[in-house]
Amino acid sequence: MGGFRFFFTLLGLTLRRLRLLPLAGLVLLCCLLPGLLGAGAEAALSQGAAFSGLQLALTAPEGDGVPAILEKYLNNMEDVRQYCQISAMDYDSALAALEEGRAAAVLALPEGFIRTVQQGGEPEVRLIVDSRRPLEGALALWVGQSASDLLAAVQAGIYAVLDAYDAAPPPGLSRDRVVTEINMQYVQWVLRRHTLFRPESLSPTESLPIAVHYRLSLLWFLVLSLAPLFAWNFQGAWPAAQARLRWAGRSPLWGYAASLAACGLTAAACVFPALALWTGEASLSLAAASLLCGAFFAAYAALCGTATKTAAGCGGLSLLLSLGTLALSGGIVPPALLPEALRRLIPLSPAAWLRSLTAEFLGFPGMAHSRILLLFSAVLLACMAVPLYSHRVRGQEARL
Amino acid sequence: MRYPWTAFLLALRAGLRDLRFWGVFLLALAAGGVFRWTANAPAEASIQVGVSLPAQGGEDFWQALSARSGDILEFVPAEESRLRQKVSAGQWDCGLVLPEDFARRLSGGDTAGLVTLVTGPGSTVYPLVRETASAALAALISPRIAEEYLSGLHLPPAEALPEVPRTSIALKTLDGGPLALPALARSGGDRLFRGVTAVLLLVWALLAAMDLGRWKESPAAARLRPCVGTVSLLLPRLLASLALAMLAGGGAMLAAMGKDAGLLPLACYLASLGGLALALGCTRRAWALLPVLPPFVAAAALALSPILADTAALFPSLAPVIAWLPTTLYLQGCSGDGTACVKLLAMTAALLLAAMAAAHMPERFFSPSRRRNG
Repeated sequence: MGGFRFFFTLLGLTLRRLRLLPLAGLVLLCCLLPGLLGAGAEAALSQGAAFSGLQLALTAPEGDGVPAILEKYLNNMEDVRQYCQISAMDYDSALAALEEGRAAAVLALPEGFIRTVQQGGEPEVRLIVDSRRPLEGALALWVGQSASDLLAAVQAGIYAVLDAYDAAPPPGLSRDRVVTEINMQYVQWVLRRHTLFRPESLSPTESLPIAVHYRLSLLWFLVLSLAPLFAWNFQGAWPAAQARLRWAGRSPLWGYAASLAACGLTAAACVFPALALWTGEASLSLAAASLLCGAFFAAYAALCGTATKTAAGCGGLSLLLSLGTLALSGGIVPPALLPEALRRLIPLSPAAWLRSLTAEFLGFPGMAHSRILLLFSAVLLACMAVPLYSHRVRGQEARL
Repeated sequence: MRYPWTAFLLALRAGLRDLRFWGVFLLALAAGGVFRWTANAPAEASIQVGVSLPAQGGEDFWQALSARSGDILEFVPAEESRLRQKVSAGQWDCGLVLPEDFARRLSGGDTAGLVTLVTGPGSTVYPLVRETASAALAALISPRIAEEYLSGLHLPPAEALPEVPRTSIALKTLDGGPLALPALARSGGDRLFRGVTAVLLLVWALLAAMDLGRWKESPAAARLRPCVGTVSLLLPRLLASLALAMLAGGGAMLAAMGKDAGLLPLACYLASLGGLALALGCTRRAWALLPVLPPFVAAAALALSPILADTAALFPSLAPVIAWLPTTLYLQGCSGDGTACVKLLAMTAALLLAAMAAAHMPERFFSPSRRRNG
């Protein structure tokens, strides 16, 4: 039998020995658990102050139309709508809404509020809050003070212009026109004040959304933890069979290569459906990426299997290694929370390469050279396991 | 001579002589101590907002912002890199970053995108921060708007803007009492520590199950089994392992939480894990999978138990399953729910019965397939 035919025969035998049912169950868990944990991690890392907006009841003495006017204009302002919804009510309805929890605070305007402001007076505004909800009450006061500061700054500018006009009025220009024009200038500026800011959103997981980061990190942690299922390829009776075949002139490296190929193909076949499900595509490039990841897994499983004597030992070693690489890649503590020195080591983590490669298929930016790094490390790990495998086979041969 | 007691003492002594146990024990104590030390650090009583100022030119803006710092919201000056780290980690609600040419752009009227408002996944009050920053910028920009209008009328600019009294806002509460400061400190550290400890003990139980399976197949156990029975054979070894787990886990909890360690729920939780380990140890079909299970079980426990977040609210369809997880019941027991401990003990009894049933099953149900033998 030629060498390659022997290789494919061994490959077939190896694949037939795989226990598909438990493997299928574990693959199913690999598809489900990362999604659940990703959602949990997103919820945990997105916790902030318990504030989801203010419902403000605006009221004034009976017959005053100012609350209705302010309700109409302020609710049309998108930047105000982000944190506050205003409802104009009469005083008793407003207090009832506050008591029942439909309003976070009641803003009671005095009579002639706008006229008093225009004349430079000091209107007395009351803010009534519920002591059972102190956060909303304190934030309502805080935003009211911000509005008061803004109004004062605008009024200062308007009065400066009017004072300058009164000192030397230009001919043909009435004061009313100046009042109208300068008020319009400031109103337009207030309506455009959001353009002062450039928003920037940060994530503790940097380039990936939190849920995607943890979903992919956990997927590869679990896949790498499947190494003990393939430990029998490199421990116990299977290498012993290779030792017997040496007497027939067959190098045990054919068996080793067949074991690597079986592990890699199985891992690729397990990972491909999960990735296809998440990405919504089943393309050739995704299959090629799955094969590359499978090749890395095969080399990793070979090293864990040849470095230990039992499946339990292989499980312990692969758990420690996969946990270590997961932690190094920022898959436990997010990258933004890692010390600077550890954050620089993230590009060295195989879990980061695997995550980056699969993130590209989800439309996110990946790490440069992740494919090359995975291929290189797969070859390196496979070569590292060769002398250990040969030593094991020779040891089995001595016992025959 | 009583076999169970002697076997228990022998197994316990072997465990106490194992250096790896003492390594784990000391690690657990250290973790508990570190947690207690970080948890006792004074928690921030207010929502914090970082402000990164330029080397020169942002003094007036900072003055206006810091005048608004109070009990509920505090502006903290910081380097831009520290601000970004704190905001992305959720430790600060949001941040304001001023450019180095802030003063030049302000005086030149180039105000579009002047201030970068940095938000993170946990940012909730950033719209209010934006309003306060707008008010602070309004005080700086208002003179220029007035000056530009006056120059359009060929009038000289005002030397200074007049002082305008602010609209006063009188705060009152519905019941007339004072408005107490809200409790903003997040409570979640205790739950996370207890949850992670519970998950690690779960992994310990799986390792104990592997050990029981190995011991059951050993020649010594094969000779003793006809005399004492399978469950009596495995129970002393299991109890010794649980005693060591209680020592390590209890030590971590006492170091972390002192009198709130919750040792009773921990004991009930370990009892349920012991039942699980015994049931797995008596089931040969499970042995081949045991080396692979720890990471999956740990991930499932972290994902489904309310350790990271309220999972029953996140996944309502899984709520019945989540409610009966041992880690969930343990966390509920630590919160003072007495029925959780009862449920854990009931679970222990059920698992013990399952173990006894598995132990009395004929061997042919558990014989591995011949073709998978070496």
